[in-house]
Amino acid sequence: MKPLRTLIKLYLNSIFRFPVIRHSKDPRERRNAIMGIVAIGIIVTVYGGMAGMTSLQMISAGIDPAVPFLMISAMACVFALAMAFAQGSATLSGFADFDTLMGMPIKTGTVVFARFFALYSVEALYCAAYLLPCGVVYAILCAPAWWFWPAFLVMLLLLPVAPVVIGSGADLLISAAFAGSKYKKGITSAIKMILLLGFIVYAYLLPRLTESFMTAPGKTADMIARIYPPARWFAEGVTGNFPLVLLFVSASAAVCALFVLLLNKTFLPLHDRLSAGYHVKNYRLGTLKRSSAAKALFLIERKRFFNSTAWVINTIFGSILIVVFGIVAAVMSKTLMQFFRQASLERFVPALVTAILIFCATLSPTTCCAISMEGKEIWIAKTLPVPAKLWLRAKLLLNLVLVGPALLITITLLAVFYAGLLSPSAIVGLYLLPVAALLFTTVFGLYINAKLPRLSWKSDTEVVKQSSSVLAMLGVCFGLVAVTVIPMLAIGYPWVSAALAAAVLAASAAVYGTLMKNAEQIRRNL
Amino acid sequence: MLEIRDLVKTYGNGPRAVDGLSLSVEAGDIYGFIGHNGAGKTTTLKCISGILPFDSGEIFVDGIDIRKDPMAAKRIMRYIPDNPDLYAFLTGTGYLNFLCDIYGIDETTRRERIKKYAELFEIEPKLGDLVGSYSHGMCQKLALIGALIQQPKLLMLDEPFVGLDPKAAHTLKGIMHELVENGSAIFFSTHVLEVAEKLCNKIAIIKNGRLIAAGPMDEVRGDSSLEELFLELTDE
Repeated sequence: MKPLRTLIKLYLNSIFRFPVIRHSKDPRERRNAIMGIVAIGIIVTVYGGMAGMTSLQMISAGIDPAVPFLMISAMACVFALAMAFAQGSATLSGFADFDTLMGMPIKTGTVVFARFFALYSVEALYCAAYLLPCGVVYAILCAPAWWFWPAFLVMLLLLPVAPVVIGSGADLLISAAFAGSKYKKGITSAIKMILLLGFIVYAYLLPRLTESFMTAPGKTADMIARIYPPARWFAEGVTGNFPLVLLFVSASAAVCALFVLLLNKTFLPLHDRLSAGYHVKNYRLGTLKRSSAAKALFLIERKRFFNSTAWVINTIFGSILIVVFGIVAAVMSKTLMQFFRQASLERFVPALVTAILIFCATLSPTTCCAISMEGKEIWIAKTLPVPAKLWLRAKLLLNLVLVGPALLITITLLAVFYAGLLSPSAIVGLYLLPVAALLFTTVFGLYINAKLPRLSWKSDTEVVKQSSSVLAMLGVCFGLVAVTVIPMLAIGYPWVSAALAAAVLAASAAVYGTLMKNAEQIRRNL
Repeated sequence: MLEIRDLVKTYGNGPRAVDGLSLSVEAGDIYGFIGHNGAGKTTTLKCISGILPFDSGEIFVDGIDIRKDPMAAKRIMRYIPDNPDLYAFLTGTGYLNFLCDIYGIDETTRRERIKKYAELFEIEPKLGDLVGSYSHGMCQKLALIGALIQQPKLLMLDEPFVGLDPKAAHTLKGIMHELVENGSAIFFSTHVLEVAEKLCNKIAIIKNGRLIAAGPMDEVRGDSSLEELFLELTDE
């Protein structure tokens, strides 16, 4: 047990960076690690607060207490599944200290379980954040049996197990299938995006699901229970059905044990296959294309982005959501316009659409971890004889290229299909504010990453999912949506939108100016 | 070619990693830089190459102040770290082509130079593979080719022979001689004293961030071997 404890401690330390906080002599690095913990704390508090409030409202409204548990646990499971799917193979097999660990007298099973625990622990933290407040609300309002808390806590800890197993298992299979291919990263990223997109579209196209969300939460619960039965076991278990507690616990434990055993058996050959590089036979140097330094830097940035599955999935999702939103809104334009007219909600449409577009366009800019993603290769950028401005601009351009076209196409689609509902000034506002928000988050993301860089990492997931700049940017995104949409709803659309756009553009210009002015210093201090 | 005056570098609140170091490397020099682990060799090389900011002192590369005009200085020098982390997501050719784009090397010249050095280091058949699949030695070779295609006036190498096979090490020594014969200068750190003794015309010994000996090899070494001198000076 001691090696397992040691490994788990090691991985938890690498995730939460406690040793850096305690021992680092570099104040910047220490501040960065502390900010990471603070950001996680804020996110956990915000999500937990929202989940608790939802639970409180539903139970107070007389809805079956199992329903909020079911809905929130299902949501937590979807997140855990998506995260494990995005980073499963990297965490379970592609970790940097593989050779060191496997050369030590530690059982493979111990390493496997410790890696699985590393993947699971972050998801368990988020699951606890969502569901603990629900448990507290339920315990206060419904006075459950004495065994509620022990059963709830055990089930809470086990909740992310099955989604993590499914997500990481699928990721391992896909990665193994395309190992050794030149475009391994691109293909696996594309497959993951298609699968995740398919999942979203499937969920969206379930008319009864979306309809029942508005009208009858009970029906929604039935639907979720059919899609993912363990969520029902969890929800009904914590609200009094003890046999379902036993079923949930034993099923989760069995899934975990089976997965770890299977992985233990195949760990070395699987790692061998996953780490197979791409080799060209009889390679001969061909024609070499020449580019300008600016273009070369952009191409490197683009390659680095598409080479990181975690980065692609984390950031390109917003663009895909924008396109999906645009297409669905265009296809359903007649129905939706009719609905808004009947409900006399036409005046809220521009603000609502703007809010959705801003949210999707600013969800996770590539720039908020673009500097951190340089990692140990940063010495190359630092020794290149190119102005640091050029290097930073390549990072800014990548985000604009990834999100900009999707945003403009969707706004144009909306402008065409909702011309009857949107005034010309509203359409102009629809272009202005989301584009301004995109520019702002692009430059501000890079600014935050310059302030909170994390160049020492073993897996890109640490940067893309857990670094303080990414977590801080998530807060900025939510804040930006609130700051721009609330005045539009409260005061009115066109002029407020124009004024806000001007303010956001001015802020973007100021941040861009600061970045460019301090570019050399930023690069030098990394 | 390289002039360092009173260089001081401190990490955070720690002691001085480099403490008042002054050194001069001329064109045609193969200048060895030796010292125990943590003596300040890598820190000095990183300060010269513009990777690390430094507290005080001056560094001139071919007369260019690295602080005042880092771009101009970087254009004429190259630095290879001891464990070069290269862009793992590129092929070998992709990496070299990227560097050529940055240094503005035309198509014909880049092809000629890449081919020449890739053949010398026997890495050409592997240039189509992703760098992520390279061994440490291959990364080292690729990093060296990346530096050599630029034909830098000042080449700085941190432990260049670590990880290289004997043939590649021999090739590198030949290339180093060729480079300095063409007017460049080489400043490199090493722990292999025999190599330093045979290869370098000048040598500097650093201890706890301070330069304790520097100058032409014969003058510094005197009648003793470099190993004896090094042990004598660093044990004091």
